[in-house]
Amino acid sequence: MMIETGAGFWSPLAMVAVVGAVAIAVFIARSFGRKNAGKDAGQALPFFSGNVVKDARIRPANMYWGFFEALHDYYFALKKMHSGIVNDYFFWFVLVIAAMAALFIFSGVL
Amino acid sequence: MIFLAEHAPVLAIAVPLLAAFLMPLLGRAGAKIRNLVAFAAIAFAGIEVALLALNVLANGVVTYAVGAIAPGLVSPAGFPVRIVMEIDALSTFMAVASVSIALLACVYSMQAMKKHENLDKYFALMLLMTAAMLGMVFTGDLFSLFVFLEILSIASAGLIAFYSGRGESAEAGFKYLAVSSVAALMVLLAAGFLYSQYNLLNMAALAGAMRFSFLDKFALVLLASAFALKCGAVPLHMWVSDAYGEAPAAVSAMLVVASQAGLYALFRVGFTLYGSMPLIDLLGLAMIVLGVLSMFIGVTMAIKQSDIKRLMAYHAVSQTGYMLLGVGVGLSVLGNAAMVSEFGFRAIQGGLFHVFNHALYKGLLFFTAGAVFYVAGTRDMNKLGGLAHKMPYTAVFFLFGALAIAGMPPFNGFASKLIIYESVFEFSPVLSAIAMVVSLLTLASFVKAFSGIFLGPKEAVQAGVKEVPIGMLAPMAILAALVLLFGLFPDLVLEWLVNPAVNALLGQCGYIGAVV
Amino acid sequence: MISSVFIAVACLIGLGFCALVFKRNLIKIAMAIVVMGSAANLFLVSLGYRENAIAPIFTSAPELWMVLPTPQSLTLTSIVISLAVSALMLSFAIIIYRQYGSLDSGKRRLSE
Repeated sequence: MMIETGAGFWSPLAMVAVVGAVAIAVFIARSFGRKNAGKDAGQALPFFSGNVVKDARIRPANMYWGFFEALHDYYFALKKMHSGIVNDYFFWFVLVIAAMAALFIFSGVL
Repeated sequence: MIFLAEHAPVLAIAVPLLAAFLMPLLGRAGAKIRNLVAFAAIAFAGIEVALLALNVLANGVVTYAVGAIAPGLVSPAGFPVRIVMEIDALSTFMAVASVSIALLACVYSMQAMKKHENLDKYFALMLLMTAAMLGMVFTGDLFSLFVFLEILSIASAGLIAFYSGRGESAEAGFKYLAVSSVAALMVLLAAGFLYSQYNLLNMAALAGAMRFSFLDKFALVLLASAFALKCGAVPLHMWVSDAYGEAPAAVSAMLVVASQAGLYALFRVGFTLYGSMPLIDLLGLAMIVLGVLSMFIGVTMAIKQSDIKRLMAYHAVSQTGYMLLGVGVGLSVLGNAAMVSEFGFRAIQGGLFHVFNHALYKGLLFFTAGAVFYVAGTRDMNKLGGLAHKMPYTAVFFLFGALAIAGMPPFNGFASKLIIYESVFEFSPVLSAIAMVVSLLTLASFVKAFSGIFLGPKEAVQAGVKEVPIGMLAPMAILAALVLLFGLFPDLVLEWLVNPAVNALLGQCGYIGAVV
Repeated sequence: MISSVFIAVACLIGLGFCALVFKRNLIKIAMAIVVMGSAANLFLVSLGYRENAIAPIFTSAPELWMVLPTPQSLTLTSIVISLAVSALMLSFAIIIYRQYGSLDSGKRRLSE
């Protein structure tokens, strides 16, 4: 029914009820309009620059171009880190062991 | 019936193990009999896990001495002898998640792998993986944890490289096995260090006898790094994308729960074995750092991918970061009783609930990716498009999984993420903000994936594409229903599975007291 | 003073890690993992050693001062596991050689 998070509560059924009520209101409002408005008026056709292009779509590789351009340096460093060579995997493992041991030493535990 | 309930820990491991070795024999009798026996073995293990979970909820920690005259003879002379299995609420929590996904993966593989050869070996390895996962979460002994960890690694490596005609699968299997066996060697060395000082291998007895010398802390460093590698935390995560990407779809779903068994081992070492160490919050700090790195680097690598399964693999890394963040915050405040009751309990609750939800929605996503590969023959999103016209059910199930992983209400991902956000906020607001940004980027990458694969004009679909058979749709439908159900009624999981597990983690004394 | 066995174990593990990080040949990586496994086995067996003790076999034992048997059983298990891992890794290397034509870990196709 409801879960208590530390700072409040969350009730999924209440949310579904509210969404359902809003959906009913929207449906009622829609039913006051014209029936079958705009069917077969070319709404589902893909257009590029005003021309109908039958099988056009934006390829997933080209989405979020701006995001990747803005973070270009970060992705350059990330690509170098993910080289795919097994030896680098072991290098990171040794580094993590050394870092954890150093963390424990420099706080006076070890 | 009493026999089943009394010997449940051992039967849950032994029956899939026996069935695994029967697979080649039964394969001679026909594919149907072999598939039926594999399904029956995992279903039987599921029944045993359910009986054991009810037992643990009613009676607290359950111990079982393997090989004794009676299972209860754990400490006949005051100290534990033989291999002792010690099952508390955290073990049953992980076991329930593992065996459910294993059962659905078995059903899915029966249809998805029909056209392939060597299916005897496939089902044998899958049953070995199930037995090893259950063994890892049920054992109370550090060395048998190592043994089951190695069994899991070897069986998983064999399954990752299953498409042995391709070099890429063998490369992924090689990398996975290399890093996994080095991590397991570190676990063995740590077990050796602990054994050399205390002459004990039983985890509860070790926790009671621990004096926190230099060697003990070095053993903790080795154990924590090894299990961080096994669960796929950044910067030890690079094997995850190779392995999950190249494996068959059902195997990827099982690898998710196998990595979560590694996460279980990390929690067991941190909370139970070393729980009373002064400055254990340093391990909590390390888990928080690993968690934040995993969340952010996982999702930024995921959003760049073109291969649908590698994208989901990087998201698995990112979601593991959420689990590490939640439980790490809980571990950091373990010594401070006031903070634990304020937000520490809820942080661990959120982290563990996320483990359960992740197994469900990630399994669903990998099953849908497998369905797309089964039909279209390619995993590259740039070559796919418009599949929702021909595969409407798969598209809807993918949408359920994508909304769940992005943390959208009313799916189950939102419930666990909300608990993590709110409890981590009280620890440090910056971490909570990073978690929310990562959630946003998760949604963005799944919008890209969904629109790239399923949306688009009908003309973009290749010829011969039609909906996948019912054998693959049924597991997806079950998982989608569970994702929605646990999103609408999260308190069911919280009350019966998660809260006992959190109490088991925080109550180290109960675990020690059951054996010593 | 630390026993020479433990120094040998530390050197072997260190050599294994050096080979894993720096050597590019897949067979050498598999060899390094086997060497590290052997070092761990050596460590385990040496943990049970007692001065002037005999093998832990009860039947017709001349005296009862024996080496600890538990580490020996741990080592047996570990040897078998190391065997399985090395067999599987070498067969993966064979498949990779057949498909890629090279055993260099730098010539990987799964990256980024």
